[in-house]
Amino acid sequence: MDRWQRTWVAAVTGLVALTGFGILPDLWPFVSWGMFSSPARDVSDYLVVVAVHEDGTRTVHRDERLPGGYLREGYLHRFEQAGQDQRRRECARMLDDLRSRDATVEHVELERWRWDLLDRVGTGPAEVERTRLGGCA
Amino acid sequence: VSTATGARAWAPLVSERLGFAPAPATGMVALRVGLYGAIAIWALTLSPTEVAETAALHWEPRSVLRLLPAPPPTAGVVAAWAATIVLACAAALGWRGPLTRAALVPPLVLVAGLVDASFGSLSHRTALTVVLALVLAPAPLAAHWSLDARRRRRAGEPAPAWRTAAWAWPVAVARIVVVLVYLSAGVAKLRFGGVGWLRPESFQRWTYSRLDRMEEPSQLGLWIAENPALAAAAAAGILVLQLSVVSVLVWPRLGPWVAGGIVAFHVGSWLALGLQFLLQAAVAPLPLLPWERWRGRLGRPRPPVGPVPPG
Repeated sequence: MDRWQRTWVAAVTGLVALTGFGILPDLWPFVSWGMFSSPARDVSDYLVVVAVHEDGTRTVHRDERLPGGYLREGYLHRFEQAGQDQRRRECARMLDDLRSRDATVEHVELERWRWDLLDRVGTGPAEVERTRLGGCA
Repeated sequence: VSTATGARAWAPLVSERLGFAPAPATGMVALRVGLYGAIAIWALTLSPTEVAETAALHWEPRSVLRLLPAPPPTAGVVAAWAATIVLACAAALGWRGPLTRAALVPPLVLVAGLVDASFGSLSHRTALTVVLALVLAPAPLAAHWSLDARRRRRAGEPAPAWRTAAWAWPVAVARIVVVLVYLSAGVAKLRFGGVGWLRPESFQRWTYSRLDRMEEPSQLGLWIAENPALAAAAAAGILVLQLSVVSVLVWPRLGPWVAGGIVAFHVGSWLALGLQFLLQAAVAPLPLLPWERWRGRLGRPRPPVGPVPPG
């Protein structure tokens, strides 16, 4: 193993350790592996995108329809903190995204959904509290 | 002085345990073919135009992608995607040694970064694979069972040594990286979650928080979440696996068991929670498995012994 190879390997491996254990912030692909490590919260609280079609039907879009980062709590927090212009831009991006998949989407509504994770009826949450955050057409 | 002498006495043992002692080329070949083959297959599963369009639509780059002033054009993403496939195949076949692998890094980082780090949040699905491609770029992986080896043979050059430390260190380094990834995940659970992470209700909440967002939640996930004993067992199993991965550095013979645990963990979390880490599940076991022992069982003759070539 040459000296430069040793230096390269030490640098990359060191970054894996320092970011992995959370000593340095994420520098993808060097990332902290602490996801799902804190105790889960009692309630789930996130942004849901509702597509309203030309015929008035409503389709709820969840994680698998949009990039994962969209619907997580962090995104909801950022959306709530954002100014009106930023909110309008975000809403327009979601509308474009949904229209690119389904031309019948007329407008979108953004809702905050909140429910107690362990309060269940059958396989779903017993009660979901919905708050309208905005919308765009 | 005695401490330094003691450290020197321990150094060969530690080096051997960590896998840096001379080793046959089998592990190095398996790592090369497996890692770069998996990268090529992963890239083939992507639609580059969809990757480009999604990134442009939701452009909010993180980490190294912030170096880009704007989302890359679709043609650029398609070119990087094609380069990733071609160079990963060439690297798997051992063509032009470190040059091919170094050339693969920029397009791979771009394509994987667009998938995992371009939308305001970070996904971890490709991180380990990209790190392995980075750290192994300068490693001698193409000396045996490769197009480079065939070229040397045709040129009348002597065959390289079959057993040497040069073939051992890439596998040892890859093993340390894999251990660091899983160990840091386990330590984070102890650090941030503590004993509370092992309580069934904590695992149930994590599971429901994923499943409730799915249009068709996994029946396996619901079954685990509805049974506190299963939820507690799953949480304990994950923590034990992640903390015990480090054992392969002390007892390399545990490698197949740990590798099996890693694959079971990723397949299980995919089926139960929809967490798709199949690329990582394919790549992480590679440096942990006893490839030479398995090759010996096949009764293949060893290649002739010779000097160590560069690259």
